[in-house]
Amino acid sequence: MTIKNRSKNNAFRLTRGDKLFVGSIYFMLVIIGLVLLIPMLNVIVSSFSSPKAVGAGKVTIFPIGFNIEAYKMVLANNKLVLGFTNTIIYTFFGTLLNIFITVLAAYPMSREDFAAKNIIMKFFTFTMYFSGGIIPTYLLYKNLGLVDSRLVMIIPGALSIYNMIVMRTFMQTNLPNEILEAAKIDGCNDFRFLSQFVVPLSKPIIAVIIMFYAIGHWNSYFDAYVYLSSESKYPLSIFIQTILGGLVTKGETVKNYEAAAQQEQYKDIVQYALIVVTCLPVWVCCPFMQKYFVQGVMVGSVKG
Amino acid sequence: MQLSSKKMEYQTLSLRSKYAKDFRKNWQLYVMVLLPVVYILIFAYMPMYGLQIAFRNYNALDGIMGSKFVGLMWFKRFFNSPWFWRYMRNTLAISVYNIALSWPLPIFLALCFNVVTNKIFKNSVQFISYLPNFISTVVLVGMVNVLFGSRTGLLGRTLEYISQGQVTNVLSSASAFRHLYVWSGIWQNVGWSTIIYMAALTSVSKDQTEAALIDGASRFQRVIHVDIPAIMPTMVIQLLLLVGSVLNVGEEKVLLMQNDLNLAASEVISTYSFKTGLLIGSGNYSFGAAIGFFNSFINLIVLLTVNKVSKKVFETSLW
Repeated sequence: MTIKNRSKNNAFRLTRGDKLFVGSIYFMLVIIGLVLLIPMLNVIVSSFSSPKAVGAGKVTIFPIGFNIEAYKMVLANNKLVLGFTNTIIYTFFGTLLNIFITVLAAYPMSREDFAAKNIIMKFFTFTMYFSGGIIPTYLLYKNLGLVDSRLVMIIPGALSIYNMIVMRTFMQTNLPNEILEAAKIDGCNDFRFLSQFVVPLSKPIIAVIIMFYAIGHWNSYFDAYVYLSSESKYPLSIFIQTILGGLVTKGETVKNYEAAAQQEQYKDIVQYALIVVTCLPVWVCCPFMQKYFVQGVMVGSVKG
Repeated sequence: MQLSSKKMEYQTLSLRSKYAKDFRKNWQLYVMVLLPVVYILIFAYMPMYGLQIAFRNYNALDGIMGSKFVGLMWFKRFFNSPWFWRYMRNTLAISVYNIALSWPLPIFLALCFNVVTNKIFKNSVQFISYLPNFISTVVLVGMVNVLFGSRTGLLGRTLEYISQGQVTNVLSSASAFRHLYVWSGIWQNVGWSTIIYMAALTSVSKDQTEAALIDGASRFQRVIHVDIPAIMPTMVIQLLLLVGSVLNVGEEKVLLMQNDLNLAASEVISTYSFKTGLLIGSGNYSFGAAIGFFNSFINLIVLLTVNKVSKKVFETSLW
């Protein structure tokens, strides 16, 4: 009610200069929105267009010669199916481990009465600002036997300090101390309190953090590029990279793929289709998750 | 009286007995946090320990501690190499260009969003602006490649048309690399980066707005005098984070966008460290580690410095 009144008030007070100003902002946002949207739209539309029209550079934001050949080719490609399977495995187990470790770190860090809190927090946050770098990390993984092991896609990066801080901040502000004290009086220990109260009450933030981690795994490329060498373990991103091109290609996949695609003229639209197929799972989740993502970032932006 | 004596007692307790006491009370919390601590110890601190190979002539047989200590040899070799200044220049050029855009643009966009009162319009533009954030680097670079392909790509064609055939094949041009790298990053992150500013803008109170209205402030004046002061601390923090990672030009995206033709502009310190350490020949671990160490060390110094300056000047800091 009050909000409505206010916006009415504002509208009433708008002078001509204000109207001009606000109008130009709307206009600018339309332009910005289009600039952001058109590349994505063009990729999607091209993937559904005829290879001829794409090859001739005629496609902008409407499909020409609608067809789904490119998608049939993408889905018929064994390597891409393998990549999808691997990526799903890495994403599932990786995220499971992520969330487990993150909750275990975040909850004690949210407890005001935990004497070691500050010192452990410093131990954690220092790693956000300084790291050993890629070469010592590589040597460590080699010693741990993680090179060319599927575990290298799951275990490293299991705890993102940033996500842990977001979760801790949520717990600090959303779990009133009274619950803990009441539970303590009833003889509840910390482990039980974590599993029976903290986790259920933190569901909103856990969902957000799960999505952050899952998208990270889904999109991850560099670790696979550096550490994996057998094709059977490659995630989708490696196969995509070999098809979408660039200098740092791995192995002979490009040639094999082109043989599988058979017709050279389909190469262009297959690339477009591939981009769409990779982005789609995340984009489909996006509208439903947007509100929660935004909340997650907002919780994280509270300094702590 | 009682309070102060308690305080004294607390202070005289040695650290050790403080933790011993806490451990008896909160041992379960210690058990919980044990796994994450061990994990960070192994995966974040062990590589830092391993960084000492930058000061040694590492070979796998002798291990980290057994390899011969060579002091600053690798650093000297790097500084004296003819490539040092070129890679430094490339790194700084990309990074400064990036900061100059990726700091102000989200602020500008967030302020625009905040002016808009039509909810449906605002939500749709925001939604569109968030989408690129979820695209992976591989796919983003793939998109740059297909869209800027001069023969068929929409943006490549557009560029050629606008420049009347002067600009062709930007993908293989060294001078275009920076622009492609930075602007594709802006396209990807600008919307998502507005979120923290939007969060800060919600803290603008009704009273402030009304006071400004009573004073006869126009909408534009309210942006200048109410909205911008409200997000000032966030702006400073974001600038700190950006400047504090000035040499951190991510190797992943650069490697993906690199080709033989743009190498003159696209080789940066982090990619050089990676290639020296792991790719070229059989890989010189020590030399690569030294280059990487130089990079993160300079970064840490810059971060500490700007944080301190900001604490003094703006009374805002990261910690």
